Amino acid sequence: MKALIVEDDELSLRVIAAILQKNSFEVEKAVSGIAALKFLEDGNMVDIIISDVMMPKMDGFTFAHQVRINRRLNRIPIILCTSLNDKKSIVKGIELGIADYVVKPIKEPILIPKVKKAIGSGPGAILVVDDEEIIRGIICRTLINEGYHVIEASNGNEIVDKLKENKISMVISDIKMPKMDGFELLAYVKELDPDMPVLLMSGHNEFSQDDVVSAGANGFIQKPFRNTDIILQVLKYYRK
Amino acid sequence: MNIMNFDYTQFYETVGEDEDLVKELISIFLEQYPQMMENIETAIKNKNSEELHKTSHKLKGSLSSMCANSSLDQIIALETMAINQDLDNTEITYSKLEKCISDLADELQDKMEVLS
Repeated sequence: MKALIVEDDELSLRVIAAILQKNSFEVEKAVSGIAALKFLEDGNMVDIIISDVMMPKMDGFTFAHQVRINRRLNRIPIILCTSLNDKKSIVKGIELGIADYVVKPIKEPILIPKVKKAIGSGPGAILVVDDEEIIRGIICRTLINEGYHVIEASNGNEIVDKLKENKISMVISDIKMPKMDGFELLAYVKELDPDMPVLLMSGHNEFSQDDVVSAGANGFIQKPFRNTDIILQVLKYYRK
Repeated sequence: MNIMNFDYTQFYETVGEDEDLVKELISIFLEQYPQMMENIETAIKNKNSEELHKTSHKLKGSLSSMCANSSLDQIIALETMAINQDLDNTEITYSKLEKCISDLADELQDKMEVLS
C-alpha cells in the first residue's frame, strides 16, 4: 500500500511517515499541495493521501478539491490533519468529501485504523494478470487513466498473495499463460469469492464469449483490443 | 523549568517508541525553531495578523508534534489573536512563548544528551 503525505511542517511529515512505514506502507512525501498535485498529475498513483490543511500557496482544501475534480484521482481517499482548535476545517473537509480527519499530534493508534478504514471503504483495485508485459502495461495504463487503482501480476501463481494482501474489486486475466492458465485462475478466484467479477482475454481465436461465460467468467476480451473495449467491460462489471 | 513543557512519554508513544526518530525530530526542532520564532516576532512587530496566523500556525504544528504542551498553549493563544485580528496582547503572549520555548529547548538538549 502506498500513501502520499502532504505536509509543510518537517516534524509532522517525519512523524506521519515513520508511523506509516512502521505499518508497512510505502510512503511518498510532498511539502506542499502544489508538489503533491504535480506528483499525482505526473501519472503516479497512491492508495491514500494524508494532507495537512494550512500550507503555503495551496492549502489542503484546494488540494483536496483538485484531487476530487480529477477523473483519474478522485477515487483516492483523503485524510486531513487538523489542529485541536480547528473545527471549521473538519466541517469544510467533510463538505469536500474527505474520508476522515486526524487531530495533531498524530498518534499511531489513531492514524492507522483511520487509514485502514479509509482504504477499506474505498473501491478496490483491478488485478491485471498477463504474462506479456506490453499487453499488461497497455491495460494498466488505460485503467489508471480512467482513475482505477491497478495491481499487476505476470502469472496465475502471483495472484494468490495479491488477492490476500489487497482489496480487489475485479480481475482481468489472459487465458494462455504458463503455470496457471486463465480458466484455473478463474476457478481459484471464484472459489475464494464467487461474486468477484472476472474478465478473461485471449488472442488465440480459440475461445469465445460463450466459452468463458460458461466457465463462470463475467466477460471476454478478444485480443487485439481497443482501449474502449477494456473500459466498457470494466464499467459493466466493476464491483464498487 | 516547567516539567510539563515537554511530555516525553507522550512524544515517545507518538513516534512509535523509536529512539532514533526521537533524536532526529529533536534535532530538526532545535535547528528550525529559532527561525520560526523570528518570523513570528517580525509579524508581531509589523502588526501583520495574516503573517502572524501563518507563522504561528507553522510553529504550532511543530510544537504539537513535539508534545510541547506549555509552549503549545502560548502559540495557540497567539494564533487565535491573529485569527481574530486582535493584536493588543501579542507581545505579552510572545514573551511567555519565548520563555516556554527556551525551557523546552533546554529540556530537549538534556534529553538528547541522555539518549546519545
